[in-house]
Amino acid sequence: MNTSKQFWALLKFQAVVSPFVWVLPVAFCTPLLFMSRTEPSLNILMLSQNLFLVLLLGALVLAPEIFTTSSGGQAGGLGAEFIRTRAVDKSILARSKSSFFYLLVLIAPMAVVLYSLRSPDLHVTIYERLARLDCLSHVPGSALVAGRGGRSDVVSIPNGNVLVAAWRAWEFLSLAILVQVFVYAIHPFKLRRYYFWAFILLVSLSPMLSTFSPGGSVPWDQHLFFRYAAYQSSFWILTLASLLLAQVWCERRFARLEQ
Amino acid sequence: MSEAPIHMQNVSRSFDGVAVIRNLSVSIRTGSIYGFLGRNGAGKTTTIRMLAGLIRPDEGTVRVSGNDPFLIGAEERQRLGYMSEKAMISPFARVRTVLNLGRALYPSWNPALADALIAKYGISPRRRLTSLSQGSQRIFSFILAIAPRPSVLLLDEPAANLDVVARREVLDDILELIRDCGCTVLFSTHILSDVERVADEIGILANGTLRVSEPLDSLKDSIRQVRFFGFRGGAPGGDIPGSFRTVRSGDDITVTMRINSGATPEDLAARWSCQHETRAMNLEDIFVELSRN
Repeated sequence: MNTSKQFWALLKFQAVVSPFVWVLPVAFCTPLLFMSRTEPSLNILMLSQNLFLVLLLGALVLAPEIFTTSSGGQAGGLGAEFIRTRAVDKSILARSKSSFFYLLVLIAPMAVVLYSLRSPDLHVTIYERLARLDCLSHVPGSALVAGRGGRSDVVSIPNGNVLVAAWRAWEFLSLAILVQVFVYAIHPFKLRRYYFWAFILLVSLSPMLSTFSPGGSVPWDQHLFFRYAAYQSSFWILTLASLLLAQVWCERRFARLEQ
Repeated sequence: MSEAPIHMQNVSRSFDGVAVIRNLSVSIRTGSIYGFLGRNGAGKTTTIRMLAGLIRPDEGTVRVSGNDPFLIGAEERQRLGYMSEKAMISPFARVRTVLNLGRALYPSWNPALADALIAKYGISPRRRLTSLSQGSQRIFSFILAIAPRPSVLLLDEPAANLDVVARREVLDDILELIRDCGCTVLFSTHILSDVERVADEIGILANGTLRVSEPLDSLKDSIRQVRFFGFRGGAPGGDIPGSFRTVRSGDDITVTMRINSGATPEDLAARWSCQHETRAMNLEDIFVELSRN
């Protein structure tokens, strides 16, 4: 059977079979709350409190059976066993699952990117001196400006709102790639659900870790953001290459996995 | 390669170190309706999941229509129908959505058959699966398995949760299906009346081991319960050759055994210098005797 027809039939089925999965992407829109506010703090802008939702979506879409026992793998969710026993090629099934997963993960960040075009420029407050200097030396077009009340810790970033929105999309995409590989890597293991919960816990704690700045240096998430701003093309090319490699690996892995 | 549409050779499978299937070998001929009997936990579902390509054996060979079901693609899966033991589709899915997927994936999908069965059982295409009764959900799963007109149909407890009337109707549809297309059906159950109505071959699985696999009539004709008594030199010890189960009570020995192969009851009675009486067994008696631990 035509692989393209299989792919679209499976994608369409996943999109409509379980409407509640569409609720989660709405939660990804919380960055909108922080957008275009007057001189928001960079610390607040960098907070990603909803990253764990990417993991939940990953489990739900890619391998709901991860939460069932090895012998009784009657997975609910999107009907993993049902789909797998239809007339489909495993590689096409894996591809359609991944596509649906990335669609769900990226739909909100991409909407936020589009929304940011309404007010692209950003005046952001960066309290730490080292971080401010790091920003000025890496983010193209950034400059110190006088803030409200004559404050001197405000940096103007041309297209800064777009940059932050695209950064979030990159962050979500990178995590989604990691989640996809992780889900299929732990799939054969007996304790897989516990590994997965540990991963969720780690990602949930990441906003706390992100503010950690050893020796008074720039927090690592801001450090990474400034490099992202400086080398956007390289970041995206590397990420998309990783996505392709991960997809190839996951399709092969999926074909060998038991349900 | 075997020509039997369903063929398993020396198959073993364990979960977490516990053997669930032990050295199972079975071949099911084309067009047969094979009743797969066993107590809960006997290994029926594991066997069917191996045939459906969801899991692999640790040892041995599994073939469906000549192919390893774990490795087959869309083309070969067109001919393999599978109905799971449990509800397996998202309960939020609408009947129509699932039917549309079937139509899209199976060129051989028979919409007339699917529509007729859905109408027959009063399942509205607009309803969500969660709103269907347990029985209707089973019937719907069954429709999804047979509408593509498979050549091999695997049904795991197809009549579970159905009322008596619905069960009879579903089983009638299975019979009608095999008459129409000559497909090979393997269905597992522990409801013996189902088996006696529709199956022409029987396999009884106990503790992961296939105790018997043969035509229903042959099974009923060949297995008997024989009581040996009145031993002149005392009852013999040890295993009774060819027996499935032996119960010793005082000087009596009651043996469930085949009477048409190996030593006959008459041979044994002559050898042990005793008397014997033979009792015919119905399918339920045979199942209980062979399934006991």
